[in-house]
Amino acid sequence: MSEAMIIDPERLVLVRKTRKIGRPKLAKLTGLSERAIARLEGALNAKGDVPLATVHRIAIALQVRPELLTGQLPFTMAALLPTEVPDCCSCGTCTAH
Amino acid sequence: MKQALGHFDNPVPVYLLTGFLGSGKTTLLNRMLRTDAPRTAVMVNEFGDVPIDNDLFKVDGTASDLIETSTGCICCEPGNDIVSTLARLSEAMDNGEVSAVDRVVIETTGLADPAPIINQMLMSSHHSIAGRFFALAAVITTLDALKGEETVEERLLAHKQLAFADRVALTKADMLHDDPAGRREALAALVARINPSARILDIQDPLAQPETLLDHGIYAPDGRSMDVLAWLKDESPLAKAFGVQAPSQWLPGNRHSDVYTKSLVIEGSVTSRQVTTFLDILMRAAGDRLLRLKGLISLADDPGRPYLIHIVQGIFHPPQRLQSWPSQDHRTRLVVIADGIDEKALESFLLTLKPKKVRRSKS
Repeated sequence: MSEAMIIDPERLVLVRKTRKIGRPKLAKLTGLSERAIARLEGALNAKGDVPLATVHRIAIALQVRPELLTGQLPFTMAALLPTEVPDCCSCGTCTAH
Repeated sequence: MKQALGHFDNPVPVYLLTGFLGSGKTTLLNRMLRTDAPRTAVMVNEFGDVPIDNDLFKVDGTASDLIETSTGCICCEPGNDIVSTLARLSEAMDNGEVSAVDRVVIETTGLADPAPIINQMLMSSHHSIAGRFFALAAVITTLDALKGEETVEERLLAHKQLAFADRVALTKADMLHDDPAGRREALAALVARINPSARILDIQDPLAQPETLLDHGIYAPDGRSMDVLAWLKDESPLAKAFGVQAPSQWLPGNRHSDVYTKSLVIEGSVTSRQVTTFLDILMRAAGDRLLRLKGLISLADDPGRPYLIHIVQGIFHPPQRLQSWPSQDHRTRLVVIADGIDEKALESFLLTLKPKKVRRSKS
């Protein structure tokens, strides 16, 4: 598994809205800045790969599998069901959350 | 002053008669159309049959009926769509080839999926069809008392035909010999599981009046003539299950095969933005597995004027803002018929429409 992933901006917005979480709150939950969240959601320029650990942190905060955010998992009702995301994905590439 | 039929204030009601092969649609049709019935245009769609008069209307002298035949299936064959057929009917009326009709009955083939037909009708109902106005009034589904249960179990199509019904006509119940009362109950339970809002009429009952299946329309989209409560009939089971003071609640899931119904009632108003987001996510995540959604929503900007929404198999129809609530109950209500969507996930998602907190309305 690569160390960097691309978050699907639209997915991130939809999942965040499903959870009824605003950008400020998601920023707080993930330790990212609001601008960083906005960038990931495509609201600002310069979007690109993000560290896997970041994807993971967001997934934990939004209670979804990281693959839903990256677009590898189909966007379904079942995928939106709040899920416990393990602290570590055991991929060996991320060292900090 | 009351407008003549066929104008925006008074559309010609269109009834969709569906039901699985051999379930008694034509027999029912003949019984519904008595000689003293209002003048009715009947469109029969026989899949694969050679048409008697291709795409022409036939007027039967003394009878009040008008017949249109066509080959192909109206639910899936381009060019055989309901809207163009109605447009031809409208033209024929305008040209004086046929006199004006009071209503239209479309008898589908037994293998027709009702959803695309309903979609065609509802999509077209917001503009005039060839200068005239038709509106889907109700979906009537025949359910064969002898074989219906088995067919519905085995055929998704039969299941959908039942799920989309506003009115279910139970046919052939006079041919039940083993425990007829018990069988009738089982059939009623089947309908209640799949489509709790449908009204059932046993057409073999001597007291039954099959013509009442063609009573006034409940789909009529102008919001004035529409009987919203009948259309969104989760009222009675809800009242039975939880009582009128019930807070946000689920109706018990009506699980049957992969198709099931969920109903939700929530207190408080939501913003139109919340509704838009909610529907956007729902449609994306559920797609055409969302067979049907009917909803009456209390909007925060003007809670006295509810928002009526309708989705048929993944297609969102133009919502309407009603002038007022149809009853004293001003709670938001949603009825969803889903096919194969994870039930827990859908429940969980539907609850996201619930307002986080009740805000004081600005005076």
